[in-house]
Amino acid sequence: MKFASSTNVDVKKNIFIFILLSFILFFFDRSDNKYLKNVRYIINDTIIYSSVIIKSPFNFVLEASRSITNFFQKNDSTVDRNKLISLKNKVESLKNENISLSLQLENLKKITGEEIYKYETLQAKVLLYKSNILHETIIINKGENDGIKVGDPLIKNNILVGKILKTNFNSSHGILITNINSRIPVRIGKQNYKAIIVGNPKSERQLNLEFLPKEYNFEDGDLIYTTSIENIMPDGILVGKIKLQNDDEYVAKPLYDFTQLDYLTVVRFSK
Amino acid sequence: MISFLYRYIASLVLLITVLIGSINLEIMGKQISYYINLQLILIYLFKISNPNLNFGKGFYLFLISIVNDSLNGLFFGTSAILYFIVFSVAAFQSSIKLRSIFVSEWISFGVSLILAYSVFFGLIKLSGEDVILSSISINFILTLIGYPVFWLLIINLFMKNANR
Repeated sequence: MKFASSTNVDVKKNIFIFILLSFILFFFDRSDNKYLKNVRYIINDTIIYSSVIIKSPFNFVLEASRSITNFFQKNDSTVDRNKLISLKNKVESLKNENISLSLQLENLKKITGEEIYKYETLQAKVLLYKSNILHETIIINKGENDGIKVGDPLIKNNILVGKILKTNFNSSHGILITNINSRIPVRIGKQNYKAIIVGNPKSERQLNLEFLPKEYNFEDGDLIYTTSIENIMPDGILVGKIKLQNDDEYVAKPLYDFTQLDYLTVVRFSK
Repeated sequence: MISFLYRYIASLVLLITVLIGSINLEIMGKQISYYINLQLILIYLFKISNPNLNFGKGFYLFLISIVNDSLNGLFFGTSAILYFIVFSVAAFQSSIKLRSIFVSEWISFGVSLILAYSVFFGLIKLSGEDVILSSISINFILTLIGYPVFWLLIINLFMKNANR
């Protein structure tokens, strides 16, 4: 039988102190205090890059086992397959760029006064991908030192993948558009219906359209693309597609490939 | 070296689960951490199986929670609150028991999880984020169901010589 020892009393005291300290730290961090912000950046960068180093042997073993499995499963040369994937990506990217530019051009015609639609982009490597009960977070290897700001769009093959949620000095956290906390202003189809796109809590491969006009008339295959309302996002980045199911029912689906989130492009979009 | 490892094994295992939690091992398109909270199971089990274990008087537990918050993009302190809730319930449970009764330990783990997830829900709402209740429920249920598996592993293999 255990009796209350001085160590146990110490532990009880420490639990209380640490819970109190955690609450203070939480509210302090939430308040976005500028002194804590810099400390947080340094801590986050250190932890993220240490985690990448520690994780690398595990990832190597995992990748090696996948390569071996692939080698025995298919006779195709891996090099050829990689080249094919790379070319497919390039074609996809050019196609989407074409659609995106056409949309921008069309939109430009409607707007009085010219706007500059050229944004600086930055290639970033996805360091970590975490999916927890809250959200799917992507950590990229570019941060505030590279000019990245919160809210900057993340694209792949000219398709919107997500946006920057938090920045550090040399890394950033991003969330995917399929997340319920990601809200992006969009326009849909030729009619240019305006709406806000958010993740669908029931299906991660679908999107919800909020604030859609009461009377809308979608066509199958209508494209969804970003709009620059209130300067939150650049105009004309492809987001998804409308798929009609019945006369009144539709499904909005994201266009990006979930399996290819190794490298992303950050659009440096200063508000 | 062995005594060093034995002394810090709980903290090391916990740290490793946090660090390698982002390995791309997926089940139905989601990482394992989406389905089960390994850290909460481990904290509870380590404390229950060895009442003298204190994670460096709680300091290592606090450090590990900061690592977890950083990797998950959470506000600092969020994981620490959950960890210490589960740790305190485990400490209380291990101090009142005369002998190990699996069912009572499992129930008290369930109670600690309800407490921890309720606080987590509140903290996330305070952060201004929406939470999918079904995701939290799935994680809660699978963490509770997963407890016996880890109990078998840790109690019977890992902590055989622990002071019980």
